Amino acid sequence: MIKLILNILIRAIKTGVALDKTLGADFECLPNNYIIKINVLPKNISVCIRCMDGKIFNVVQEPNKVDLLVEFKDQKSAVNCLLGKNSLATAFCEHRIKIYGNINNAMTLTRIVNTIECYLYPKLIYGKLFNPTPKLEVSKFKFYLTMLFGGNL
Amino acid sequence: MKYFEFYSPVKICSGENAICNIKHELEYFGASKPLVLSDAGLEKVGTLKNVLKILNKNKVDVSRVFYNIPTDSSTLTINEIVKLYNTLGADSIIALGGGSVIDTAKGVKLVLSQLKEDILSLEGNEILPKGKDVPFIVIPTTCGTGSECTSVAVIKNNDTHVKMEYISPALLPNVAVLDPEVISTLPPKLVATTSLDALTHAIEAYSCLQRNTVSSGFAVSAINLISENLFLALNHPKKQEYKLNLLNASTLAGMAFSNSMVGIVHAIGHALGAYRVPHGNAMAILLPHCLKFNQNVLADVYAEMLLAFKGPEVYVNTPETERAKLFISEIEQFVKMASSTTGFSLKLSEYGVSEIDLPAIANIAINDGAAAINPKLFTRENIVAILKECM
Ligand SMILES: [Fe+2]
Repeated sequence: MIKLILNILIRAIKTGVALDKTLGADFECLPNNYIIKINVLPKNISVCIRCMDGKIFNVVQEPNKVDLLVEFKDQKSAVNCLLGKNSLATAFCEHRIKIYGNINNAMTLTRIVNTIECYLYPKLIYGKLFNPTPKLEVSKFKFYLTMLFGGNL
Repeated sequence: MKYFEFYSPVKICSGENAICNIKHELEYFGASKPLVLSDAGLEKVGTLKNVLKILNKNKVDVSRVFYNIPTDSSTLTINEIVKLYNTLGADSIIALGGGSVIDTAKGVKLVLSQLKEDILSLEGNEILPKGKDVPFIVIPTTCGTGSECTSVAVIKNNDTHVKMEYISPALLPNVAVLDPEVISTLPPKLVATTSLDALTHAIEAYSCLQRNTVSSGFAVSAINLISENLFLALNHPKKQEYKLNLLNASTLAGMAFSNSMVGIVHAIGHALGAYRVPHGNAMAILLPHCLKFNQNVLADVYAEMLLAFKGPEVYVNTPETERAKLFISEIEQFVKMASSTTGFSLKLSEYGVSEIDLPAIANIAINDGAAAINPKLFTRENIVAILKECM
């Protein structure tokens, strides 16, 4: 289940970065050929992506070096965060995650995930997480359509 | 917040002749060969010499001293000091200085405790084990950073020129020595700007996303002490008790924000640091504007802080709906008075910042570690708008 949620998150980030100009600009803040891994303890369930030339690629094999590792200390916190019950910033405040690597780049990722959660979930959910809520540049309908049927983003 | 952590294991030795106790603190850790770290400024004004004299008189071995720490703590300096520490056979660190000296010393302690040689290999947030004990004593020489009690260090990467944030309990000193003697020669302008930095720490710690009931207690005490003592210290520079109160406030604010982090004022302030705006001055300039920006989200919290800042009489005599507004205007007046009394500017343009720089400053600020902790989400456009108000 966690693996599935993580994969949906990555697909949603890819969609958001491709469609939303502000997210695209945020994504450009990350260094080129930058490897990000999100890991959930204790079972080490993870996804890994490479950011290159403005696009996101899945990294299937365990890379030699990860530039930014965001690690949830337990599964429940990860689910709360990934399903929109908590924001990534709240998880950080509550010491639910560890960050290995550059904290500024982790902040960029946090901002991207904030907006992605607003695309993924109804306002009833994300309205409680953010004040004010991030501006969405494309409609949720278009976002979901691209996420589901947009092919290789 | 549904869960919080508070960790502040630093012993505080505060008051007259506190430095004289360092010998006993070292003995507690079984240490006798400290490496004293400081900077050229403190050497030039004689503070380093005075402290070494006191330490020497109290039988502390002060033969190992390094005072070439630059204004920005940097990876190269840290790695150089680590080598020196090992070469000289030191067994502990005494840091005498402001933010950059303390952050450098924290970096040195971190590398030594993790048995590494390069600080760059340790970047991250709360990922390191405690490591080897390296007795670490800090003597702050300003009333602002609170760094003697924080688990944060900002260190410049000499290769990329980017300031990196390190967050780890392993950075915390063992002892903070707050001796008013070392700040007796601090110029009034620095007393004011560093105290306003401490005030910002306390206000942001009390109001940010990570605020918690324990850190809020420390923050409230700090706000109260700064409000009551800043102008007494400026108007009576010979009286040590007022400056000591400011030193204590700075440490309290440090303990608060080390456990609850800061917010938008620091996010923008750190970015302005890259444009040579001194940190305390940046805080003074930004604080009132950022309070106004956050007001619609934090009105209740600001109303509460009026009690700490102006006392119970003003608080009860102010209608509930007016308290937040009054708090912001009182802070604005306080900052303006500090500026006019000691002669520092509240305009960014007078520090060499021009309108053309603002988008680049906003781009750095939005990615700062403190940005995500601000209770109100903000954009690059919001930052540019705040900066324009400060020009
Ligand atoms: Fe500060």
